[in-house]
Amino acid sequence: MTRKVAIYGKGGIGKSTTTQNTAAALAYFHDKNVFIHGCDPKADSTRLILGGKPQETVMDTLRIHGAEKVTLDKVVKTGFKNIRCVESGGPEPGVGCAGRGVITAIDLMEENEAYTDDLDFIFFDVLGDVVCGGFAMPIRDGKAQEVYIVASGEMMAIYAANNIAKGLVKYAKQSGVRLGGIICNSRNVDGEREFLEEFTSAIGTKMIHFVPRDNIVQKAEFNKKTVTEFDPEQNQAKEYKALGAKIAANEDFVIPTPLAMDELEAMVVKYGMLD
Amino acid sequence: MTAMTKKAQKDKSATYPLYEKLIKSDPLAELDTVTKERVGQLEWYIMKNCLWQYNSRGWDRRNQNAGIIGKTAQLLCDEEVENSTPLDKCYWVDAVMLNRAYRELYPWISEISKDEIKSLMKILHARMDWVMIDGSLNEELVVQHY
Amino acid sequence: MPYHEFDCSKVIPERKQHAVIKGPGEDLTHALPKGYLNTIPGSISERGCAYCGAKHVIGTPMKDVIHLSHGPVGCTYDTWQTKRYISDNENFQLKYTFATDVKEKHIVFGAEKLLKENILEAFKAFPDIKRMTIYQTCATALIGDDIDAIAAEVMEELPGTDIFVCNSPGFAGPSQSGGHHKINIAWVNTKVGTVEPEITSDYVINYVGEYNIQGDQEVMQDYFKRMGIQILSTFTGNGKYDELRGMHRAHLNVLECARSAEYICDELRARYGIPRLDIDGFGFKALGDSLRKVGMFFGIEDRAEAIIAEETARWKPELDWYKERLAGKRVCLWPGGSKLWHWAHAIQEEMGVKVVSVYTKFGHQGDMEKGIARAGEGTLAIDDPNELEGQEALRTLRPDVIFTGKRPGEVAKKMRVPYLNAHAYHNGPYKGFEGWVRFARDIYNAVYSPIYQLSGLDISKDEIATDKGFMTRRMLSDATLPEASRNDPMTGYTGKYDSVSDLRTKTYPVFERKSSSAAAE
Repeated sequence: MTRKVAIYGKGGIGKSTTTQNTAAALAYFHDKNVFIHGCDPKADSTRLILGGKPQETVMDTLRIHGAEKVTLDKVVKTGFKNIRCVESGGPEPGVGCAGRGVITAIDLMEENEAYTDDLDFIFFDVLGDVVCGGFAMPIRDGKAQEVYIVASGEMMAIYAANNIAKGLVKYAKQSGVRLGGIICNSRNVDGEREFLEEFTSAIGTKMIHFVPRDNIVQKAEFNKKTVTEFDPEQNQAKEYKALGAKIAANEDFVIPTPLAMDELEAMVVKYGMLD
Repeated sequence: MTAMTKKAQKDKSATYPLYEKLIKSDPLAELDTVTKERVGQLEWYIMKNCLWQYNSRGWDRRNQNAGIIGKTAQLLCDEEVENSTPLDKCYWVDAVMLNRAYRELYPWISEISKDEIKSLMKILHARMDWVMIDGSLNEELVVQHY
Repeated sequence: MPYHEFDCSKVIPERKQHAVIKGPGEDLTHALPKGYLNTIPGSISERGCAYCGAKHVIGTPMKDVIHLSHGPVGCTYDTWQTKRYISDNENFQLKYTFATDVKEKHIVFGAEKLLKENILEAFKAFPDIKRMTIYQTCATALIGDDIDAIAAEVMEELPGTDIFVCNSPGFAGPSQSGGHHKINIAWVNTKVGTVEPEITSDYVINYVGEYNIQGDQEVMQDYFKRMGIQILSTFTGNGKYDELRGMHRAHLNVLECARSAEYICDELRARYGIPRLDIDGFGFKALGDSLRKVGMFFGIEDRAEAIIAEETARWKPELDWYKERLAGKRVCLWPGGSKLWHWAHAIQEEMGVKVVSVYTKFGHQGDMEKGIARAGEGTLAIDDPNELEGQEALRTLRPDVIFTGKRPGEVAKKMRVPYLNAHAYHNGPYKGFEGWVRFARDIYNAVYSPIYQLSGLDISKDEIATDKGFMTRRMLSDATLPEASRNDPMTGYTGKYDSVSDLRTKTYPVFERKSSSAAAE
């Protein structure tokens, strides 16, 4: 059965980096068939898998050629370890409606039967601020069944994670989507690991993995690769391998219980005053 | 409807192949006047009265032309037509109407030999493929989906 | 390439490829306008939007359903009561239309809660109706409301109800036709096959692409019933929601309006192997042939022949009476999508009326192919016309009558060209044998209306004859005919004003069913 996963989290926290690196690890170390569907108008969710080549987005193809001409051979590209990649695309900042773009792109992919049965994992990489109904499209009925929120020990990242959890509660009832866990993308903040463990436990889930900060990620990115492709012997590659394994084996899917503002504030204060 | 059933239904829908051009130019162009006139009459009747030749994709039109004109040729030659599927029967129904109309409106058709009928119908088939598919200006014939 | 350039459209060079004049000896490989493209900026188009195509054309004719638009009131109101798709349950779907009245705050904060409240209210207000269709509009499509999820929730809370969601916002296609496509595919994907229908005959058809304009469907249904054929469902005129869910059990799909419903026929053919038979319900010969074909498919052609003989005997003399008086009249055939080819040849052959121009508002190139093939030489064919081009065409072609929609029709009236409503008819139904005579009568009344004697006179300067009496229609129409015709006691159509209501109370012969093994073919 294909696992359909949606990745949410504060803008700039490292969702696309984490998704791509985890996908690469799953494909390389665990021999899985993976599909990445980027749901961000910036269209930067597949760059590392495709070796830096920007791909033609679904919405651009629709805009230029028309909806009937959107076919899989035009918009699905294969990269490292046969990972299939699609970018929804969308408008530039300040114009149009990116949310509608995500809705239409996912509809077109379903119509074209892009999400085939032979896939082990489909990742929907969704942009940071889930500002309208469109960005919740990946967690509607029939699409992603599990969500992972990428966060760090920074205050703003935790706020964002809490907010996203609020949105998940509503969708959990409607489409059955569940929270699989929080991925910590470390920023080397003091007390990061403890803060996250307390937070995740408070909202009813767990920190599925703590990904340490390591410059090798940036170096690989600079070379337009994931760490696994760049140097699979690196420690960081092993971290992503572990994260991939944990996601694959994960069975704790919950409806989160987000914190009220004052509870969250209290927790922040507690960890902010650690030193 | 659950997502599962929706997908199961979609699995049944056919894949839509693109088609290659079969007829490269107007098959009537180089023929003699009598043949041109006769095929022209047969074509005229179809174009004024029939709808089966207008299905929306090239590969569909290819099947329609072959099915209906093929069966009409058989009927005009008094042959038995076999209809093994409902789709075949549908072609046959249109073929019967053509057979009757042709015999009524064009008496010359009852006077020529069966071989001549077959050869004329073959030219008609090529002409219909030309007008409706290979020479057609309809840009929707090549679209992949319905 | 005999493209035709309108003087008024010289400033829009792209328009040139949308109009064609059929030259002598030309066939479809020479002359075909472009079609189904985005409306060209600068032209005053006559098209509608995809939401209208889905809701107003295809969705709303279903008679036992609450039709709810999820959007502002304007969208709903402007797609209501402008088409006469009647039904035999006292026109429930014409009398009532429903909207969620989305306002600014709902756009900003999401309108799903509002939608759910509205659905529950609607079901409560009409407890006898258990079916609903919800149409998405531009507004709610942009904010990403998940209507399917809300519908699923309500169906769970109110068992016994069923809801169909149509996601076809206005911007989803270049014109109404985009909406047709969306709703066809949505229906066959989500609802066909969810109910097992009751089979009451050995011969089962789906009557597809028929919207019961002024009773068309009921007329055709009468013929099929007289042949002992069960119409499992009509898509969608006078149609029931649950019947349409059982479309997969028919033996044959009889298709009238290929423009709006060939999509579902093609899908049913691909998924269930049900063949598609295109027919024409207009015109004695075309209708007769169509009934024969359907009869032949089931091996009951003799029943079809009986009906054709009976109807022709009753109505042909009246049709011929009109043909004599309409011969040589010129018409511009300007409908939306499919009537241009349903009527082009039949009108000429059976009423003697010459078609000088055809157009289509939202048709595809396929419709143009059919129209141009069936029309004669010299016909001007236009795709996606605009008002200015229409006026120019009327001035150059000078037709005697024009068949078109209400809006271009009013323009024609002001130019002193009589008009008949091709979309919703004047005194329809126009399908069937009697219907065709009613159509002839309407054309006759339009062309020879005495009002045109007066409307062209300007009492401030023209000479108004004071010794001549008022000329009646008959006097006008018979002026050039031989004496026998002028003295003909016939006066044309002798049917009733309402030819449909009686059909609803008619009884039909019961045909014996074959044994189940013989019937399965």
